[in-house]
Amino acid sequence: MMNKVFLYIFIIIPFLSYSQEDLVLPKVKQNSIYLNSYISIESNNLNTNFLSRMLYGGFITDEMKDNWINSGDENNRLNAEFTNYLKYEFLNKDFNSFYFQFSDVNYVNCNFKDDLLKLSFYGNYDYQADTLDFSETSIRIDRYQQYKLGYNFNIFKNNISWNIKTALSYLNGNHHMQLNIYKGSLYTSETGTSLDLNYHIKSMMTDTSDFSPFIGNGNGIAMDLSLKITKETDILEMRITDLGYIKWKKNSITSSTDNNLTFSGVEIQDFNNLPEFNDSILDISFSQQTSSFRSFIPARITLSYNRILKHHFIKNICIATHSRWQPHYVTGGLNSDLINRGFKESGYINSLDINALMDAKYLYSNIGIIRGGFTDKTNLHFNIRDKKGICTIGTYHLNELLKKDKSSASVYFSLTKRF
Amino acid sequence: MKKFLFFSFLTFILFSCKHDLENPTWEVDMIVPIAKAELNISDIIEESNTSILTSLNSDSLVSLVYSTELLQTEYESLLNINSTSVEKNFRIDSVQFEDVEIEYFTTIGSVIDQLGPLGSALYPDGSMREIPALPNIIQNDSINIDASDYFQTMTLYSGMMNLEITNGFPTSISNMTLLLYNANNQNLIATFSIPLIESGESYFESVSVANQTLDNLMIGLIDNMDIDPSNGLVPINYTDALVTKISITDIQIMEATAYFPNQLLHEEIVEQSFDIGSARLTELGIKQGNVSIIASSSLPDTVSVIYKIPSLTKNEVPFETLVKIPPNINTTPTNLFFDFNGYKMNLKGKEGRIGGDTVNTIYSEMYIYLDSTGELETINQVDSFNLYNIYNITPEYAKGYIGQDTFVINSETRNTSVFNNITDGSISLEEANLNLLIENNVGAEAILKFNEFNTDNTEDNLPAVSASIDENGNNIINYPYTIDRASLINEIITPTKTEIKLDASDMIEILPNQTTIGATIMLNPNGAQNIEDFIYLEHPITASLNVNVPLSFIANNLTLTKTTELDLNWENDQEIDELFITIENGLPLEGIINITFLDQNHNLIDTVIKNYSIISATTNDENNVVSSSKNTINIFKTDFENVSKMNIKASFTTSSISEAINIYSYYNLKLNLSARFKQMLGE
Repeated sequence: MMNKVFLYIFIIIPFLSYSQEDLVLPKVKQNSIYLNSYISIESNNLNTNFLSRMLYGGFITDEMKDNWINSGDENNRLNAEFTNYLKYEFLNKDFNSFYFQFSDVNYVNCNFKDDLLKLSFYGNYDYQADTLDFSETSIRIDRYQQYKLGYNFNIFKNNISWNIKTALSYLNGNHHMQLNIYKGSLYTSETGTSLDLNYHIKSMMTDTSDFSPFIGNGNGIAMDLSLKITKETDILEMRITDLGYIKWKKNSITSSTDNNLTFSGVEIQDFNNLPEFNDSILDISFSQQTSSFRSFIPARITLSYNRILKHHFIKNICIATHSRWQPHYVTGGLNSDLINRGFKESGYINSLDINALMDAKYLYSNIGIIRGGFTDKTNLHFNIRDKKGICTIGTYHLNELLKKDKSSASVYFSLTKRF
Repeated sequence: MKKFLFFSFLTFILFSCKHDLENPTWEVDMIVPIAKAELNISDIIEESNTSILTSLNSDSLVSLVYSTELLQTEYESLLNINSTSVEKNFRIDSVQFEDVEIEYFTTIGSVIDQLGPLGSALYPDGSMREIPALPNIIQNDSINIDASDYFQTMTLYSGMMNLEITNGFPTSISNMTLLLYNANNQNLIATFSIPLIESGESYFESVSVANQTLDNLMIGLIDNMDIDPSNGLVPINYTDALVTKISITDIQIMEATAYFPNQLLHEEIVEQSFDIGSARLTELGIKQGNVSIIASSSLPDTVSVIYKIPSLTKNEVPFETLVKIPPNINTTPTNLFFDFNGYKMNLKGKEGRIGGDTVNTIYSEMYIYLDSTGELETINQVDSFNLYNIYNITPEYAKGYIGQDTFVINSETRNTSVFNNITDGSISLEEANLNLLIENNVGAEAILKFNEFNTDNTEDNLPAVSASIDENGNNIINYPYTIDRASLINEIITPTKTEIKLDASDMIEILPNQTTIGATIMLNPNGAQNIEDFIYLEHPITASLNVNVPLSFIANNLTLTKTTELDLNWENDQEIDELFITIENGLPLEGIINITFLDQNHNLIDTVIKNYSIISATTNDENNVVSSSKNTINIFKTDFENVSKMNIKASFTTSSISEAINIYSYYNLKLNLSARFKQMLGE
């Protein structure tokens, strides 16, 4: 209860201290340098207690296991990102701009079912005469640097402003680890007399001999493209960013295994010469090879409508939908299957975002609600910045901020210098 | 300063929030199958008792089959032909020595020279002259006799000194006396007196020199010689000579230092018979055998022995060997060893012997030679050479008449472990067939009598149960069972088999732990037959016991107890919390099972299962199984440390205790072993 009280106070303060002045835009300067940091952890079912235990250790009690397994639906999604970038932008007198951006990107993306948690945390004893299905499990971990060159230009025609943004990125891949269990199930018979295990597992991993943070294990490209149409107070924008992939080097390890076996113990032929216990079910043999492969980075697709208001307090309101596209693997060229899989396999549920820009007395505040993404909840999106646009701080999960067990948390921070 | 404070504050905040990354820990509860087995009654029985086999009859009824060898005759004593020959000794007096011959020429020219310068004038060479009487023409003249090429010195056991003088003079000589002395000590050896030798005639005289010692250098002293008148002209030829030939013959040496020639010391051509009791063998195959020749020699020269045994062949090649017996100073005998493995011994004596073939006899030849070294060697009459041989033969087979022997196989009590695991309860068998199978591999008839044959359970304090009557109504004890002879064709034995059948239910239902049996076997009870006997020692007469018990029985609390070694020291550190033994019982037997873990010293560590009832399979009115029963035994967390043995005690009762139940081969027992273990992950 106290948390909610604090939350409401925190949200309401900017609204109570509104200004009578119009929206003050910073004076246009040609050179800008941006320093941005963004960290986000989102999950539909798992909470920070889960992450805390996983990262910082401690004994996991049955109560915790029950909470994690029983929260939400059967499918668990977990996405974590930590991105820092430094950007320089030059704005010419026609309001066209060039920019260079260096980003350091880390992300983890996991999708798995409750049955995998059950098997992992409880074992199979409690699931006799039952099948645990852990198909469609995926774990992706990536780290790379992105060098982006962009060009934004504007076209004014018939009182309509067309703003087109393009960018091309070179990606220096450091590390990639990917595990996909396309098919996986374990049936335990009564009293454990037999185990039926089906699995189709594929993994791809870059060279594990050197975990240096900036090692070059792969190269890739990505592109940005956006179109913003502004007509008077209406702004429509379509944006695709970071559509690209990294091709990892040939010393990467790809493994796969596909099996369907029933194990009921070693067969004893001669009780006077018992065979050594060799549990073949634990001996999963992978077909392993070193080869190059490609992995996609998460592409963000946004479609938004923004309306500038003449209100003294609410300066504009925006409705947007966000999607992500990141397939697990690619074979062959671009086709509809790849496109569809990319959306599904990103683990991101299309999100709807409604937000508004508030003009407070000393700063601007953007507040909105967003539903979808990696969570099943409706989250509050909130940020504040000074009126000169030097510093911005915000979160996409304001509603989780003061909760003890957060299912999501994020914070971003930006510093801007214009000259 | 403000910036410094700001960054200091920021650094403090960041590091105060820093949390070390650690692994979480949690406990998982797993259950995994460990082992499985599907056993039918044959598997169960053969697993628990390796001496029992199973068989099936036409309707798949399982029978227990137990076989063991009861009797085996041994015939080594029958064919004992080991023997040692008489020792042969050869002394030096048997050593032969070549004759010594020395010639000496006295020419007429040398005699004329005795007359002085006038002599050659009066009797010129080539002239015709009348020779007057010349008495005492030679007096005390000596001739040197050198025998160094033969010996240095020689003391003779016997020998003849021979003198042969051939008169080549143109006139006769007379009154000649020749004395022989040793040059060194001038001992007189022999004296020869020659009254007259006509011209062109020879004179021969032998004198014994036995017990004389001869030197290599001897002096012949011509004490006197007269030349008789020619009574007319005779040709004077200076080369005409008086030839004196001295020889030593028939030498037998007491001691000599001489050049001894190669010579045959001894030859022995004999037939050697073996004492083999009443057997009269004509052929013997040798499985393992040898002959040792033990020889010793004090002779200075090597002795060669040629040993031939024509009766002993291998691949049709007779045994023959040449061996050298070296000079032996320290009198240690030389042992010569000849391997007879695989040889065939003809015991019919010498081929073509007078009187025809014999039996139990071999023919052999031995030749012993003295080898010359070419050097002077001293041989004394005490020097000798002796040898004897030892036959040591383990036969493989024998042919001929093998005799009329009786072998008593003393009663022997054997412990049997077949029922050792049964510690309590009772069993009633529908039937138990016992067969005594006597297999005769010997080419001779025999009579077998069992002196004793019974089984006993020493734990029940009841008397032993003796075999009673066979299927023909004969009392098994002391009945003379006739056993036909085996046949041999191309060295392949075809044995005869004599089967004695009896019902042994009484002998088996007592669950015996001892069997006692004794018998007597008489070979050739009717004496020698027209057909040749044979015997191969590795193929004797044997008697084996075959018990066939159809598994149609009533068991009442039949209790099996067994302690087995158990190694639970698994390589991994996994601690088992609970074991599940799932039994699908398809046998019409219900049971109560107890399992305890013991340490090395049989001390109880833990009772794992106590009085667990295993439900019998469901049976119909005919006592046949219609469905299995499922039993799950839980073994909770048990202290496996120091467990080295497992004691299993199981009591079985048939589903019916009034009617015998049948155990068929398709009845089976499925076992599954699974384990529950809790494991702390992340540690």
